[in-house]
Amino acid sequence: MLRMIRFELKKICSDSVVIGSIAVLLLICFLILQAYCFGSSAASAITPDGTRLSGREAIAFHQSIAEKYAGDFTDDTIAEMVSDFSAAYPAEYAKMTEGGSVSSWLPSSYLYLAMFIPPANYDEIAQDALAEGTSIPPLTEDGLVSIRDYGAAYADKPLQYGYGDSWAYFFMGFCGQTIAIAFPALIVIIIAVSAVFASEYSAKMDALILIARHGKNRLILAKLLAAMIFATGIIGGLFILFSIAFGLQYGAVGWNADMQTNLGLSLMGVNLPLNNLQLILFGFGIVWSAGIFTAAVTAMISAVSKTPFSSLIVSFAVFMAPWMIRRLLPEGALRDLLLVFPANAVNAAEVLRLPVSAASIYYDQPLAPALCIAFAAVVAVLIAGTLAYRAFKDHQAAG
Amino acid sequence: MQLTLDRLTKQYGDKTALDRIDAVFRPGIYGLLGANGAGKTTLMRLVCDILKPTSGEVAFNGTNIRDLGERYRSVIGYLPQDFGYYPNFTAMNFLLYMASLKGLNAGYAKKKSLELLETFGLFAVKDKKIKTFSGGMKRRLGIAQTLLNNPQILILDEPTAGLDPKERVKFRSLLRSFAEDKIVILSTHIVTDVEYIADEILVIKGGTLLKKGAESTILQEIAGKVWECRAAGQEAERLETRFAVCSRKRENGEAVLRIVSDEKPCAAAVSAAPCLEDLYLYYFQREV
Ligand SMILES: Nc1ncnc2c1ncn2[C@@H]1O[C@H](COP(=O)(O)OP(=O)(O)OP(=O)(O)O)[C@@H](O)[C@H]1O
Ligand SMILES: [Mg+2]
Repeated sequence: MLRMIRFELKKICSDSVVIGSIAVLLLICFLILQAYCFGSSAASAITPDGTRLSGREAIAFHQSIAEKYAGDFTDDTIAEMVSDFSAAYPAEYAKMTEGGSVSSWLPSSYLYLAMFIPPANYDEIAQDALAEGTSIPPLTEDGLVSIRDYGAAYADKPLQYGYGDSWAYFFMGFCGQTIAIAFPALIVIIIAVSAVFASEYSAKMDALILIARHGKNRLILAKLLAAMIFATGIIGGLFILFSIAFGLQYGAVGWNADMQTNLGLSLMGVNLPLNNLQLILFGFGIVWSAGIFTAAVTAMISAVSKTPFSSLIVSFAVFMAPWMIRRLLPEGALRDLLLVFPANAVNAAEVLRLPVSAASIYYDQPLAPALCIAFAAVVAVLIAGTLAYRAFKDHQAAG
Repeated sequence: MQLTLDRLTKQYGDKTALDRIDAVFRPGIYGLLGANGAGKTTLMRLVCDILKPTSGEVAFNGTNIRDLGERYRSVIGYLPQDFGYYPNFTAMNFLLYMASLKGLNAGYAKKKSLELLETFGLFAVKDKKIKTFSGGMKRRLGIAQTLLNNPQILILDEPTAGLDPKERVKFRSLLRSFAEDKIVILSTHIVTDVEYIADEILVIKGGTLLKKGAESTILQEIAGKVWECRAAGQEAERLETRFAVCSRKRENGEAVLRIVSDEKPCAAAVSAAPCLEDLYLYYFQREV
């Protein structure tokens, strides 16, 4: 069995189209790493006296500021940050209070403080709200917006703050948005797996395989497993590449800070107790589920196609359809359900954020979308796997 | 050991490729003879269980092969008429791959593969990619592959196509030594191959089995129907258009024609001893 799987993997990996697509994927990976890891704003900084830093120096600077506030993340921490910020960078602070944009080179701990600084006309807004019979939450004694207003996740236990830039960029570059490495990775999986069965038909190897002792049982399993292993290898490989790049550039500082305090990610309202390290592992899990799903469905299409090319076209269409439909649909249950399809699921940030929205069917069930995705992947593997198995077994080698 | 075809029928849409074939195979070498499109390949695929019969069944030792499944597959070897190989595999890897599909353990697979490469004169190129092989080399690799699992039933669809005369002779003697106690079914257009190796001959025409039996028995059929005529000019042309001519040569400005015909083609015709080629022409004259 192992030998068969090895041969199937060898077949997949010696296909020049697959090699080419992996090369393109690595190029995209390199570009994303360039943008998110080596050239991100986390690798540039400006000190209070106006000195511009870059590279390691800048990273160390950001990390040293973040470390000052490491620990419980409370309204007091925020007040301390705001006051430090206003003292060190008065001009930038002034811009922020006026609602203007600030330099992205500021210490990352200060970059998102605007969300805690009330607008100048806060009193007026409060009075207007009162007049209309509603109320808006009161400010803290330091005159800031309380973190309590951003979600219920931290009612009993304070969140942990720590350096988060590198984790945020890792997550964004890997799976935190549509344009992340996960999407092209799935396309490479489609390209490779779409040939798994169909290439045997077009190469006229089907007859030889099907008369062999294991040709109608174990070999099919070996092919399906090889497809899954390939998918896992691609996604795992990219994850390892990312880990190495980010590890070398940023180290592991801040791994145990809560993802909610990683303000650049806008995950404050997400009611899941994950730290930064767990967040990227969660992202990996989601992308892996999507990869397995994609591999299984593509293998099934491959088993019922005549040529690798038609299999590739159909697989690609089937992969993209839920993505397109979801973009056309208005918000609603169907749109939320389409999230389980790989092309949509790879956006792990959305998987986390959906339950925060009151309109969503996942509302207040922070784990529900992830569980649905995992469940869908298991169902896809079982059903598509069975169908592929039957299709190849009963294939009529009629020439 | 016995392989039985029972009213085996295969239809593609409304085209009947094989029509109620009945036959029994016991150990020995069987040659399938038939024109292009006669149904030889279809018959072999049905016997290999990679094509579902429209009706009828193939039974091995009394059990339908569809029910035997893996147990049947582990005792057959099959060489398809044409197949792809994997151009990027080496000859050795190709055999090892087939061996893994046939469930041979790794050590035995390696030993057997090397042995077969040696037998088929491919040892020197065992680590070369198949895409660099000539047609005959691929054919030999294809035949080698069928023998990996030491099959009880060997099905070869045009095994000698593309082999040069020397390799054909080698193949025949190899097959002879291998076929001891085995059922070997092969098809070919090269009548002499069948003549030399087959114990029994099956003549298929338009999907039906016309004849099955030893060469001498079958030839009885056309005994007295093979003629040799000497004719000149117009007379020779007339004979060629009216009768199935197996061969013609020139002797002393006259044409010597070998003709298969139920009736005596011309007054001067003399009867000749039939051979398989005559038989072939007798049955397929309108198609060849
Ligand atoms: N997949 C198919 N669909 C439709 N018709 C087919 C198919 N395969 C074969 N046929 C038809 O069935 C008949 C028998 O074909 P088969 O390939 O068995 O002939 P053959 O005796 O092997 O011929 P050849 O000597 O050319 O190899 C032919 O008329 C062919 O056109
Ligand atoms: Mg044929």
